[in-house]
Amino acid sequence: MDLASIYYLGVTILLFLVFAAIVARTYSKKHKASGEEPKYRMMDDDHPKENGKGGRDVRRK
Amino acid sequence: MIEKKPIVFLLLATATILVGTVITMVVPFRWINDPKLAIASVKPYTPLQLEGRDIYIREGCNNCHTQTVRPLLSDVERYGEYSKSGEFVYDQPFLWGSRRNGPDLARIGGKYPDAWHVKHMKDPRSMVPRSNMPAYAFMNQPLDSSLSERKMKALNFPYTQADLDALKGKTELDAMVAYLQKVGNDIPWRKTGRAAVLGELKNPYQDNMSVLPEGKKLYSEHCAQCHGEGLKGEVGPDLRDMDKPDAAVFGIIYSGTQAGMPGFGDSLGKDRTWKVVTYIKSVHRR
Amino acid sequence: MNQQEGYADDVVKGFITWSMVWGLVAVLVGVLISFQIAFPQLNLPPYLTYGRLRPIHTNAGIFGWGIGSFMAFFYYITQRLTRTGIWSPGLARVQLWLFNLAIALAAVTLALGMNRSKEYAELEWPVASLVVVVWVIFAVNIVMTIVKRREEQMYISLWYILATLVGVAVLYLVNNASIPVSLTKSYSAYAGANDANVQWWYGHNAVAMVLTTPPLAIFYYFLPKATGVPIYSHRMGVIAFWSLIFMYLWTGAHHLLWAPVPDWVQTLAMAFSVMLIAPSWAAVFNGYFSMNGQWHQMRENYLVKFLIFGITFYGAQTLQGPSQSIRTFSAFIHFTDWVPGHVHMGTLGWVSLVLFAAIYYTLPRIYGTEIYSIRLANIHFWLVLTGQLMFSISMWIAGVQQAAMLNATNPDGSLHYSFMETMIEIYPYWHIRALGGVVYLAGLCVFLYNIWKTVAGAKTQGAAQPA
Repeated sequence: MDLASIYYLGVTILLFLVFAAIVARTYSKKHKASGEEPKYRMMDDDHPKENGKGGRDVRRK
Repeated sequence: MIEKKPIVFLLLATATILVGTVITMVVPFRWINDPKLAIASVKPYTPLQLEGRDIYIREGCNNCHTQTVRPLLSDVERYGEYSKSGEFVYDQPFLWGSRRNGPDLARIGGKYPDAWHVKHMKDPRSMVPRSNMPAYAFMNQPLDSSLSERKMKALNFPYTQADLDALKGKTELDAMVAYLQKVGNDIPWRKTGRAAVLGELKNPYQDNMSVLPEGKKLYSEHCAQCHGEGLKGEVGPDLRDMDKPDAAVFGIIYSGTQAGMPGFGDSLGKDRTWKVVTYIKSVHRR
Repeated sequence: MNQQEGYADDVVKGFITWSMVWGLVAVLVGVLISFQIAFPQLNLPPYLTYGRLRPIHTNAGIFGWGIGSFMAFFYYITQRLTRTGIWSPGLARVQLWLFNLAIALAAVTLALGMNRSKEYAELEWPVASLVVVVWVIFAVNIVMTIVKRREEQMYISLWYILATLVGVAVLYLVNNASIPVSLTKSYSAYAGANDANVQWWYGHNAVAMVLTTPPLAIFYYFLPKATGVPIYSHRMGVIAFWSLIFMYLWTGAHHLLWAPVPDWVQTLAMAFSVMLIAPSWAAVFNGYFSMNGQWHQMRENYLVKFLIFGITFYGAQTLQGPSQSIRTFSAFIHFTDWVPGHVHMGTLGWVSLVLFAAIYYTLPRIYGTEIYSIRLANIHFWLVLTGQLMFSISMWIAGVQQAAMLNATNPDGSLHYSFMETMIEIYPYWHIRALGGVVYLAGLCVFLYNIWKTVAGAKTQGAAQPA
């Protein structure tokens, strides 16, 4: 194996590890609730002024 | 985390997009059009050729005609020598196209005489009976050469005042033909790549009158556009009283000539070529 | 009046209306050029030839109908997912009229033959510059709206929207780099094989950033809205998102297989194209699994029918696409009618079906009314589906037939057919395609009539009962 091939292999493994890290984080137990939360909150978004409706409004109380 | 920080997210998404971009689009600039791949005989366009190329672009010819011969049997046998990156170094933009509603034009240069192109551009179906190409008779109008010098300067192409003066009185059709005759003709592929006719050249239909009707039909489909009905000659010469031997006539039809006649071996095949030979030899001036 | 409090939806109405106008133009021109291919006498030089009209068809379709309605729904979706009004409704209105100006200028200049020749980047530099201005206004407005949002997390649609904004900007700027000669003429800044490589990096990622990520954003928003059930997995959407925007950018050179660009670029493009099946089908599965227990809605809810057929065509598209990216298969079908058949399954089947659903869902809501006729919506569905299948299937067959004839050889190894002999065999398929286009156009007219009656009904209703 020449130097270039080792380099390419290194990059490939690195990219794969980044991908594995994203998957691991996204599917971690800790992240499960917050990762799936937006899909419930988007179901009721027709009333911008009523902060109480459809869940908490975290940014601007 | 990032799903809560739009600006950080935007930067990360940009970086993600740029990885593939840099590797497959930016980095290849180092290899493509490398001086090592340059071909010395490939020349920039003359002002007339460049104007023709701009008309080709204006009319959107690239929507139906590709300009790249792939190194595949069906491409190389049909169109000629496969395309090399060094042939396109003066092409801004490239005109490789993506769809062949009509045939590939990468090797059109030198395939037909100028007169063929003129007739064909004005009325495509007079030369190719069931063609679906639009007629471009309106190109028989004076060429607008007011931008020619600026175009040559913009592209850094060499030119002389004589080149520019020569544009006066030309039509758009002249420019178009000048361009088409240049395309793919800068490398000497015709001299080296023409199909050699193998095997014994003996006419299997010699004196066989029964093939004359078919020969005549093939003649009117493939030959009459240039040599005229009744073989009287038009773009090509008069063929009545043809006195060359059968084998020589076969060679001309099958492989074409340096004088501008294209080869028909790829469309007729040997058998039908012999039938055309038999028909042509049967016609005499009365 | 009927506008939901706090959301600026007038501009959404404007974009939807104009995108439908340009969509009609795109289909009308498409039908015309499909007849021109079959009947060349229909070419009326110089302005109405296939060569000049085809770019008008693609530009009106991709930029007028596609981008126009994406702008509408990005504004609609972003406001709701952020629970915030548009950052600047005034800028959005300016953007609407600049957008229409750009598309109208594009149509006129292309008919006049002012054309850079690069596919989907044909517009000469003054018009292209206008497009850039429109896009910058759009991007700033959306990003600012997201920045000042009142909802902590970004739903997956917003991810795709942000990626679209940055992706299109990068692609458009790089591929439109030109050397101007005059106001109406410029040359590409790149030459030969370099130009080809840049162009198809752009060309294929226009597919990614215009015909994939925006419809996905719209699909992920409107499927749950239409069914009343959340999307199956938000996290699967996230994984698919990163994989998709990472891998797409590697695949441009699959348009250049066997062309004189470096082999390694072609091979990378081929490999990544095949890998793209995974994130593409993650979206398909996300759609299908969301329907668990809800499949009866396919019968009862016309919106679901449009959306699920749309994602199904997306699934078919993303299997067919990678298969065409394989060198051996590409050698066979590249440059034939197979490819237009493929492209139109994506544009007519996937993108347009999803957009139709989004318009059917959105317009009655922002006009505070009900759809005029569900029956007409169903007729619309079956007409456009039939038209599109006639188009795609006839073109696939035509492509395979022509490719087979082009490759046929005699016993001595010479080719059996001339190009013309293969081409004239395609005429019957071109007739079928043109007919398919007419059927599609009929479906589109039913759709426009239905929308017109819906909006007109809302207006008389509003006039009768002043608020």
